[in-house]
Amino acid sequence: MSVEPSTAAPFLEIEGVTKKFGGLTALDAVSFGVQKGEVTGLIGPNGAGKTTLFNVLSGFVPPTSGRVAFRGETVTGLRPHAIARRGLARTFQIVRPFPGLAVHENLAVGGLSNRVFDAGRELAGARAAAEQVATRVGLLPWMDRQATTLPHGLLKRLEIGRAIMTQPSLLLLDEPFAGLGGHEIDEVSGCIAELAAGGLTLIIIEHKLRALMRLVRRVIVLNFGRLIAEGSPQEIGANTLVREAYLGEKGAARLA
Amino acid sequence: MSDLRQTTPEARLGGGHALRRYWSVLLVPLIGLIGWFGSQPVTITLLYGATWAIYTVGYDMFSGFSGRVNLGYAMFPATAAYVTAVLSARLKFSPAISIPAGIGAALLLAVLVGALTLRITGIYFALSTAIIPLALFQLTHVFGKFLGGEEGIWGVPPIFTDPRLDLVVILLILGVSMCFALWYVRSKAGLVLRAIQGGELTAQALGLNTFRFLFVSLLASSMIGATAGAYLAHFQMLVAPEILHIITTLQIITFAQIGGPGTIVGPVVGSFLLVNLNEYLRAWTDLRLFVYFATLVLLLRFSPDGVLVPVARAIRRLFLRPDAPSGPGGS
Repeated sequence: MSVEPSTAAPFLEIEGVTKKFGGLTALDAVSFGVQKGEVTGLIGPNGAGKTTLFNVLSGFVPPTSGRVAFRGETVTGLRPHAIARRGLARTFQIVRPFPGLAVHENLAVGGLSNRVFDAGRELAGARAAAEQVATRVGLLPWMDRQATTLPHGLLKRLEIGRAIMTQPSLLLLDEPFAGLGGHEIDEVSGCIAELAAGGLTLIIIEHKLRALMRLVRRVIVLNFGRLIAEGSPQEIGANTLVREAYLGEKGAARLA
Repeated sequence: MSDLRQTTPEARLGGGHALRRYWSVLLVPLIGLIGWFGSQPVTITLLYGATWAIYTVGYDMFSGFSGRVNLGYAMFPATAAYVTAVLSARLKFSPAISIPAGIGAALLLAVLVGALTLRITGIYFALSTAIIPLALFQLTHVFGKFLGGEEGIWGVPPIFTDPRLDLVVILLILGVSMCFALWYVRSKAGLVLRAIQGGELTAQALGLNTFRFLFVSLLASSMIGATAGAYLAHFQMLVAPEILHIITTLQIITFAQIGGPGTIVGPVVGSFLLVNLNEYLRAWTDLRLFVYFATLVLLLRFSPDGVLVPVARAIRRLFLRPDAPSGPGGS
């Protein structure tokens, strides 16, 4: 059932990750690997542990047990900024623009190093990089706007653009289509497809399955913190366990 | 309500004309002229006004941009003042030693305070910074023989006999502090501080070591106030423990809040205005503080972006540059 090629060591390796919040087991011995350049969908009902898994991968939440290795290095226990510096970036399901900062400043923040003092050269470089990223995600006309005044659709793009500014090699997208209409989904989906075509490895949490399946070749399904299925969209659509837990008959039809 | 931080992006991100960025520092020689040619009470009022202005610049460059309210800011000038006073009044060191040593002691304190408190977020950061000067206040009593207890330390030798020369020195400190703070908050570090205010975890997700930026900024912020505190010990010729009271920091915050927090300039103007106002209200000290703190609460409720700078910006937008584009996002 697995489509994972067994040749190379995985780019991202998740080994038996368990996360308990008090008596609640949010993640239960989740293990899987992701190859470089792969685009993976992560689906499952609400509360299945998808975002918790992202929080563990990006260092915001320490796992109760288990290990995460990224490009051969254990990153479990590193602080979020250290993990981001290693090329593992993420977006948030609920957009988090920096209030009080213009769009171009929001983007520029993503392109800064940790040196505190700068004669201005680094900031100028980050501004130039922000222009390029804004072109890629279609934010160029709104660069001088206060980020918080943008409509939701543009904020979702800002969220992705800001993460790209860190020049990640693996990007975790948490519901990039949430709250978007059909046309907006096509636009954001186009951005993501371009990133994937450029060789960026992606893991995408999404409930809008039709849009998700256009982007991914492989899907991982979580339910009550457990990995219950893994495979191509067709395989997942045919999986009875997944149908019962999450998709229903209609949802399964979307994957066919 | 217009957002205070909606200046033009050029000014924000380090571009823009230097004159436009630093014009406000011209206030400093202007005040110097008034103080030099004014009567002695005017000179002395401006001397204190400038000292408070330096405190508020130091406070604002950290708290006004990072959103981390430092309720114990006064501990930095206080420590510098105490160490300077002990060294010069008790141990008879010259100012060339007592002042740098006072500033160094404040820096050491800032390192400790930063390491202890900056990983504490939200209201508990403010609370912990409020507590530390209370602990230091107790020390001035515990070591009362040496630190003077309630009396404070008297007999610090003055550097100049003419207060106008003190004013020149303190205004130099103010001018340099303003230039540094204006540069700093519009540099990369300022952008990161504003991002931290907007969402510290989000900034971390973008690879930023937010602790490091906060730590360095706190040190820089403490140095500004410490320099004024060390010099204060000499021109005031005494240091009293009241400087460690939370009231000192609350006054700094009031001055900053009236001017426009997160602007550096506003807090400076606010300090001079209110310290001068103090002189007129001298007869009713207790009522004065009541009015201050009532005003502070009302400002926080109704005009969190302050008064002076937002009003000045609105006037400029209305009259001076009618066809210039308004700030991003409009009003």
